[in-house]
Amino acid sequence: MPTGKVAVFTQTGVPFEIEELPTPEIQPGGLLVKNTHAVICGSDLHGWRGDGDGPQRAVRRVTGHEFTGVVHSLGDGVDTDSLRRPLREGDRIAFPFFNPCNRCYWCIRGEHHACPHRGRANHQGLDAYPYCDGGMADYYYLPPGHYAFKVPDELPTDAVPPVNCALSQVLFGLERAKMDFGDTVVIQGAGGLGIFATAIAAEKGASKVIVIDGQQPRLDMAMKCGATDTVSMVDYPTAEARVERVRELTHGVGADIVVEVVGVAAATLEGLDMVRFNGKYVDIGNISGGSIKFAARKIINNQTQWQGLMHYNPWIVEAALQFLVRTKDRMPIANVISHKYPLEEINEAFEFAEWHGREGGSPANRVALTM
Amino acid sequence: MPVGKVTIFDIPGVPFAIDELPTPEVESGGLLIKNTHAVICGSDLHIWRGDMSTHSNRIVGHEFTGVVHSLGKGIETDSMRRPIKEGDRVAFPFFNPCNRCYWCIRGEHHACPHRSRRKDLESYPYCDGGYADYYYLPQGHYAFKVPDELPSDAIPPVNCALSQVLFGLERANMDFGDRVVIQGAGGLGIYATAVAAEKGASRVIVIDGQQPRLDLATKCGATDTVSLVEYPTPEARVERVIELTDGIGADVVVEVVGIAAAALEGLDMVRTNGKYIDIGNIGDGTITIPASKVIGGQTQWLGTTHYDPWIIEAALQFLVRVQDDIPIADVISHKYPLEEINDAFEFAEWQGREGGTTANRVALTM
Repeated sequence: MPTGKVAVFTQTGVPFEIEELPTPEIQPGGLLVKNTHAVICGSDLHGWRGDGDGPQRAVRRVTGHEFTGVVHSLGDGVDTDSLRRPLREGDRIAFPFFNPCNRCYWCIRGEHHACPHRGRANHQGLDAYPYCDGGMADYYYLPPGHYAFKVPDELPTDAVPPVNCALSQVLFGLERAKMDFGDTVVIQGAGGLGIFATAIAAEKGASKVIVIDGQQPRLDMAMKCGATDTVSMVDYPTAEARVERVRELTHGVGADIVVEVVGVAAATLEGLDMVRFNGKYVDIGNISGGSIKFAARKIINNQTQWQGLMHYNPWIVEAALQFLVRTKDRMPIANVISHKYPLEEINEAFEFAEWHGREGGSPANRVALTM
Repeated sequence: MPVGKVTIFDIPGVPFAIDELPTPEVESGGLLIKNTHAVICGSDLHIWRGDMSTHSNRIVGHEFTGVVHSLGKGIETDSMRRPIKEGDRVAFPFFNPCNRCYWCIRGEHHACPHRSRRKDLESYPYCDGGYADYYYLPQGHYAFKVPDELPSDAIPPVNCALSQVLFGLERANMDFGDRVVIQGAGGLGIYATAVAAEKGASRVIVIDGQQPRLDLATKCGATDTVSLVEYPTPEARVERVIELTDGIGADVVVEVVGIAAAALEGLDMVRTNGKYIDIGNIGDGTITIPASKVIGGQTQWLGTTHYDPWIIEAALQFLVRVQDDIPIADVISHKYPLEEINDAFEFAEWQGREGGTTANRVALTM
């Protein structure tokens, strides 16, 4: 088997180090991916910065989960993707960055997104099998029982990296919320996830898609992707003013669905107040710590359905790919990568991506590492 | 129109006053009910104690039933088009969806923001409420004929306690074989236990501090009980639920306690990607949680108040079906005439504090 470069992350403040590690032997039913692009996602920045309430772990590991690649080699018995379409070496594929076990309380119910055993081996450490295996690395190993989807020829390669994280995550969120045709939808945050959520809500037949963010270029991008209204945090600087504005835009009713893709604790309380009586709050972004305090009866009195979620079911990846094929000529969402760095320059790439987040001005752009 | 007795609640600490008020003229499409039984529900105690802010000078009581006193023009059937006549027993929601708003056009009658009539006593329809002789169902109301098989004492809790938890479990889309935890074995908890068992739960785990309530829960379908005496801390109870569910947690947890801290405890009993049905916590009080808690647990936290009209018919049929098998059709333990409402509340409150009674309910009769 080949050896491959791995960007090893240990802990916050310590730069990534590039190491060369062996790749695993491919078992029957397995598949080795030669990575081509890995994107720096908000969650990667959370980990890199050390956001969160818990203690920091000092473990050598590979980060990166929003990525794609081509088939390097197929294990015995694997000659198709998960939809039984023929697959061969060199084919572009998209795949979940986690591996449901198909052998637990959750998997037998089809709740693959919640499988407690879906975690990634590469997060546990690099000293054991399967070694070179992760997003920000040359290779990624899909073990037996994996899910993989052939990328449609119509899609440019740059469209594919965010499919298995940002796009699939918000697509799953809106599917899980059972959004109805004609719903009014609020998207809190117009970063990578927010722009995708906007486009999907529009494509699913929302009568209004109201997008909230602090950066005008992101809001402009949201308008190109299906937003009907935007609420700028510059024009509406307080939570109360934004809640009021959403009420106004929904004729006093509030939104049928509010999608939280912000990642700041206070956003949750603000968002809950935008949900209409008996509406839904789809909570995705707030994974990085902080706490919130509210009236115990808040959820009952508003009859809110507060839905927290992470990850997605495998069919979502295929739905996301087809969505991109269908909309790529209408909306600027198939080309969200704004900057590319070779894997070896990962430290510069993170510094640059972080600068992005702090100073603003770039609309939903994503920084990619290439291998 | 007749004149009827009403009991007027002003503010906590001030006894109910008894008064007589005219009943409204029955409009076309309306229906005047002669109340027969009104139960003291936990929410009524919340109001009476001052646990929750509410307006003053009103008629309280919402868990009640009665017979048809007079039918408005055009009304000759119930909401299922079954003939009704004066004297027939009926069950009905204690709120009136407007059928003319964003929610009602979606069938979300339980969430209609115009569903409550909160008028002062000086204006129409005057004598109109639970703890009173009469109740007026206006045009557009929902009403259901009570099946002959049911004793009258089974009916008062139908339009509140029973319908509320039945709606909660329907809304949660509980699956056959789910493991269900019921937090609290009061009136709502016992009904929730029986409904979950009837819906095919593989386990119904009931949590309470009073042994007689837990014993009743076991008779009504609970497979396991967790006593607050044996498991005095939230951590111990959470641990016990996890143990009873093979390390997984419950598919559905139903909160019918009414104490803020119960929400935190209950959320920890929900399995990853499970559902938290929040019904009881309507008093004041706050909770603090990590912002990532609901995401991390992939929890569906579902707040619910009221119900859609079809639930009442489903509740009545449920009682007909199970009344001979489980002791839930006769939950009224004590009766007081309406005039003795102050004594009745004192007694009901004593019940709540000292424990030892099994999900019994105190009824006022008129």
